[in-house]
Amino acid sequence: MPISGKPKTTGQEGLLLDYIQRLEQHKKGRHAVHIHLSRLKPFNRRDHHIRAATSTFDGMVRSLNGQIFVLDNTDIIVIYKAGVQGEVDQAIRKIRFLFGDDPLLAENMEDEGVRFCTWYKVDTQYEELVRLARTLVDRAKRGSEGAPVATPAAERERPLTPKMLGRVEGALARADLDNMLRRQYVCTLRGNVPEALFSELFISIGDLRETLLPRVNLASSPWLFHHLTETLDKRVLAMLAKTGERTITGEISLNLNVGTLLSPEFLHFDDNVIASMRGNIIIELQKVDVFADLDAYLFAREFVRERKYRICIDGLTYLTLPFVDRERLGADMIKLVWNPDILDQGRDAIDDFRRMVKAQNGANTVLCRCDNRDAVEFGQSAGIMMYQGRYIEKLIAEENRKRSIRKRKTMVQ
Amino acid sequence: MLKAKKPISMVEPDPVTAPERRETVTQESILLDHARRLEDSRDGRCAVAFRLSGLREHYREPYHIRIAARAFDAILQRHDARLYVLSEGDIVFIGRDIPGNELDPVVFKVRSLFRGDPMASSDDGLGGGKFIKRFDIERDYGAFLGHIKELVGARGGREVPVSAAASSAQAPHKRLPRGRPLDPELLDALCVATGNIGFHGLIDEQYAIRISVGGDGEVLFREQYVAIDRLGDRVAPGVDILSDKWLFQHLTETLDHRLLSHLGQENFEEMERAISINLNVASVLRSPFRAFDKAVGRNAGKVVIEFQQMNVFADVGAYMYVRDWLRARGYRVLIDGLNPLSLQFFDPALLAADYYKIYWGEGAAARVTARQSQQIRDLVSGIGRDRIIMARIDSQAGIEFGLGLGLVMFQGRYIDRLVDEMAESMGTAGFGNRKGL
Repeated sequence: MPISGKPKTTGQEGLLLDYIQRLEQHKKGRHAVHIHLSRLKPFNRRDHHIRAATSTFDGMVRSLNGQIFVLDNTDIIVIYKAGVQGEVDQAIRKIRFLFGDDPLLAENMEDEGVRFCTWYKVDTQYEELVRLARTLVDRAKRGSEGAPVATPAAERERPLTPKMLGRVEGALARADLDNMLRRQYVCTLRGNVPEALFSELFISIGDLRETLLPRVNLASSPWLFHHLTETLDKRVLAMLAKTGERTITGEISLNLNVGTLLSPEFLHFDDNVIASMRGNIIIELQKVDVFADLDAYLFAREFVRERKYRICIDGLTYLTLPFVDRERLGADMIKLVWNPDILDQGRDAIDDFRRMVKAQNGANTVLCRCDNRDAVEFGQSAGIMMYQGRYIEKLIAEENRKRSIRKRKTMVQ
Repeated sequence: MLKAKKPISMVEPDPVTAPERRETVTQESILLDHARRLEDSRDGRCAVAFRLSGLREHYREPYHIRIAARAFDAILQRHDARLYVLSEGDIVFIGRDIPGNELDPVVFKVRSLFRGDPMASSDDGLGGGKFIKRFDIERDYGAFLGHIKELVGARGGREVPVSAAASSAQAPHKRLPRGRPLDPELLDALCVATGNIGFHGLIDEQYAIRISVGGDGEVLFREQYVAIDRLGDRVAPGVDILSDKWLFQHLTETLDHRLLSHLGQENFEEMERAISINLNVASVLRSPFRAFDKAVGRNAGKVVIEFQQMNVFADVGAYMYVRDWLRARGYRVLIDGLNPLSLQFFDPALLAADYYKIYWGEGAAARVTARQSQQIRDLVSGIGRDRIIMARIDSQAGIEFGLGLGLVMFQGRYIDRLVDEMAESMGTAGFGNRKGL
């Protein structure tokens, strides 16, 4: 699978165009799929994962049922005979597995709402495909002439090393994280009107990366990344313990590690929690953390619940939901991550997922990363009561606008 | 008469810089002193002793002690009372005129913190159990003093070196720390060193066997693993490489590569008994595994790949992909690191592996609750006895306990001994010698 080392004009893009042009007489019964790996956030693209993704099509290529092209930007285009649609579906499902469940890294896709795959029927969309191929060739050519182009960022990026981690953690101790602290509301919806229940406070990993670790591939070591989040936790706790004058009203949620809950830093934070915040804090835990040491989780849960914190298990997907029994784990709520790709996976998959979600109590479930109406519609069909995401923020903004208009009107009157 | 206005401070000393000190004064000696002085002032005095030292390994981290002791904060602030945390982690509370309705909730709270442990969960909290002992000093000073002497007596009147780790209400770690804690800088050096050193003498093996109806044993596979302690001594003497599980996990990725290239030199064609290796899910996707796979060739049926539960849950999608990929090539997949507690919280069968390895602690039978035993039986009927391996067997009692639950596959130090003994008695015709392939 050559990505580099070949002159761009005869690279995979060129081969793709050539192939498509040769298909003009053989359009019937062929399909194509464009897998947008390049749309994954740079730090989610891992070389070996990408190689693995490509190899899922080996069988089909060997049996001459399909041709695969791996573009400069790591996208994969597969052109195949309609008869092997089942194999292609299966391969894509496998690839989704590889990239679909990454709880440590906040966002998987660059633009939320953008799909992982685009599908084509060669006979009815031939012109489109030719245009696409030409565009890709042009883009690749520009790359060879030194113009900025989307070369695989994973290649330009350095992997996160222990040494870098040490430096970053040192910097974190001194850094002013105020500007990186973000807030997103979790709401119920009455029709289109959002009612805020609590807000999640978090440090944007993207911001952090840009400031402290530019061009570093955080996905290269999930373990080091997890260690980083533990350090981050403690800084956030320290920040909040000093909140004092700052008005953080209402209920909030914080992302913390189990290890942090058991640390002296948390005890210190708890000692200093201002009266109005006591009982109004939800602690979000990642499932990898919970399952890494169930004993520690149970112990921590016992301890924090006694102090009136609530627990939310975060980062669940259709893959991991079956493993989590919220009641047994004694968590107050769970947070499910919306992924628009589920809509591409066929009626059965969607129904299965909906059933799974319904089996959990919707009153205790948050659907997050709701980037558009689709997410909310699915959530409502599955009985979910709480929502979070860009679309919700939009609804909140609209509602606020309407309210201020109403206010002005009444004032005028 | 000691009056404590604030909780006893539990400052965590820096283990790197604080040297070992020899002191004649210990928490035990202060406690004993206090207990003796109470002979003449028993009015309204009561005591509660928590035997944390008797809990399973899992519950003997410093944070367990720290948090359990915190439960007494409010009482210590409001009353004439004192809390002792002994070097083995036992906690003793002594107070005066403490209302029952204030003390009881705290006692029960501490008990519920440890309810994952059979000894704690079966204790009624009223003083008659093994975990919690309560004393009305006024009425029965003798029993109280006797118990304190017993607690302290294990340490004797001898001087106990008050190390940085053991002082200031810190209980010893469940494994003694072997030096400085691991941090990112040290990890960096470690990864480099591990990548470069020779691996001879660092790889151990342990047998997993299946016991048939007649009581005969058959070897399932030999787990090949890196002896972490020896590795630590070789690459990082003075560093406790297991002190941080995330950093250690990162190190295992380098270990995986070394292990794979070492094992890739075996002759898989002629290998008589299957082997197993513990890998990170991500390692299977990297090139060292590709090379290993090539060396294995068509003998993948002789190789079992083990994944830790924690690793699997870090990325379930990748696990499923890798599992299917391995299986398609003929490898078998095993989920490692389960314990009876895990079984209470999720169904491992959902991971659809070939084998599941479940750990018990020592003294297995006493450490599993009735509910957990039932869970295991359920798992056996659900997944099948041919898929579940009970690991860390270090005695005959462990095997018998497992057999009682319907299990037939075992691994552990005791199993290795059995295999060696059988090999000796049967000559090379039976199990064969352990180190040979």
